[in-house]
Amino acid sequence: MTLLAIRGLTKNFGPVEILKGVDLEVNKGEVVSIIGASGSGKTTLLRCVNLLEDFNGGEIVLDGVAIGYTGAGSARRRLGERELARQRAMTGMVFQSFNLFPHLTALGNVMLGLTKVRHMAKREAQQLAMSWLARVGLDDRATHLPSQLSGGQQQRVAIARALAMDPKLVLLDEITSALDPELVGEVLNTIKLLAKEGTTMLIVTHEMRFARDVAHRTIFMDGGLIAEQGPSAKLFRNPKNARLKEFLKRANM
Amino acid sequence: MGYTFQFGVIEANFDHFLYGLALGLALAFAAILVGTLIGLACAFATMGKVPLPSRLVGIYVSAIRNTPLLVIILFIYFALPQLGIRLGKLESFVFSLAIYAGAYLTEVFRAGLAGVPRGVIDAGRAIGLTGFQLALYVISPIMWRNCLPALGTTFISLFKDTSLAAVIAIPELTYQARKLNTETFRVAEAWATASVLYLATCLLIAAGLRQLERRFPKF
Repeated sequence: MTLLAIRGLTKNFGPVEILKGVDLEVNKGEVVSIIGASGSGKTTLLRCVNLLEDFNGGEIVLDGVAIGYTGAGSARRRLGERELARQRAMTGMVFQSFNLFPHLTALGNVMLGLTKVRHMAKREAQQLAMSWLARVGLDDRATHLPSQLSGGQQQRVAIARALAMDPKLVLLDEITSALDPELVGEVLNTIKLLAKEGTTMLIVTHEMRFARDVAHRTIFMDGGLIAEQGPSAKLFRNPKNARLKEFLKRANM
Repeated sequence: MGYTFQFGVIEANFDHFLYGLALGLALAFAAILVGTLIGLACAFATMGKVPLPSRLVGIYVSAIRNTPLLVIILFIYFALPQLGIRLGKLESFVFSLAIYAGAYLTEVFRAGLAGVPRGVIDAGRAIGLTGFQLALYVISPIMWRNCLPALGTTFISLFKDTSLAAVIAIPELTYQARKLNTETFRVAEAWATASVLYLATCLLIAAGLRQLERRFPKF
């Protein structure tokens, strides 16, 4: 069953065309990784899906609903802030630089969306948040502020914050790039666990081995387009696209 | 130096000084309260994508910041009634100091807002907070913490500016010192007392604000 369908997605930053017509489908329960050089449009693609960026053309259909815009052609309009917020809550996003709310504890970070967006009672939200902190192995750090946590711990809190909202789709944007090498493992293990449980994920990553081992399918983006895609094992073993071959060689794969 | 200090007059009139000090504090408090509301509204108004509010705020801030406060006070007290707007003495002064405070606080809050990491705002949006919820639960708390040191300085500065109320005969501390000066000719005692009271009060406010900064540690 198709959960996410992106059709002909284009995005410009001023005169610069970042996405030049991206088509991508993600099935429910599927883990798809996106690899590619810096500037190839990977992060922008994720941010469009989460409606953090507007886009110029094409459509994004999430669970049967075209998101972000209403109407077509000259009548195409960006939805109102309220409606965008509602649609954003359908996807969860984890960022490269964690972006935890610095004034809230680990628990507070996970609870905010539950109480304010999902309108859960405080007790219920607290229980759910604690259970998610436990799942990422941080229930003993619930009362710590982000500044009192290591990078890996902060990123695991960010994962709990995104997942506790029970999103249909989870977007991970280079979530290990800002971590010290010895902390990468704990974060990737958390993601592996989620993958096993059938969480639908779209993962932008520079961790080639992780993409190969965890993602069902890998997408190679180049110059704002999907240059090659296929089952991860196959794509890494037998790349066809010349730029992908070059890219993988430089990544020592 | 043939001057002999005689603090007896001060002692006899100390209740006037204290009254003046309390009045000054009350004026500052009222002006800061209104000024903070103005400052917050203006600072948040500049955050939007529409350019007009930003431009209006810019005009307000530079107009106020490039006019002496004394002139603003005199203008509002003497000129506004000519234009048909009548305010009481105290209201007139609080209004003057509030619009003056508003301009400076706008800049303080703007700096505080600029210090809220872009990514943290994205994260708030990503979990589905609306713009208002984002401002309330994410941006404001971080902004307040960013502003705290600058706010303290501004508040102290505004309290000292209440001394200008003396020019429109509001009986605050400076007015009381001047009155004692002219009535008793104990010039040095009167102004020394006023100075010490201003100094002590400002140091006290500063100490309180430092406590506040300690209670809310930097993130």
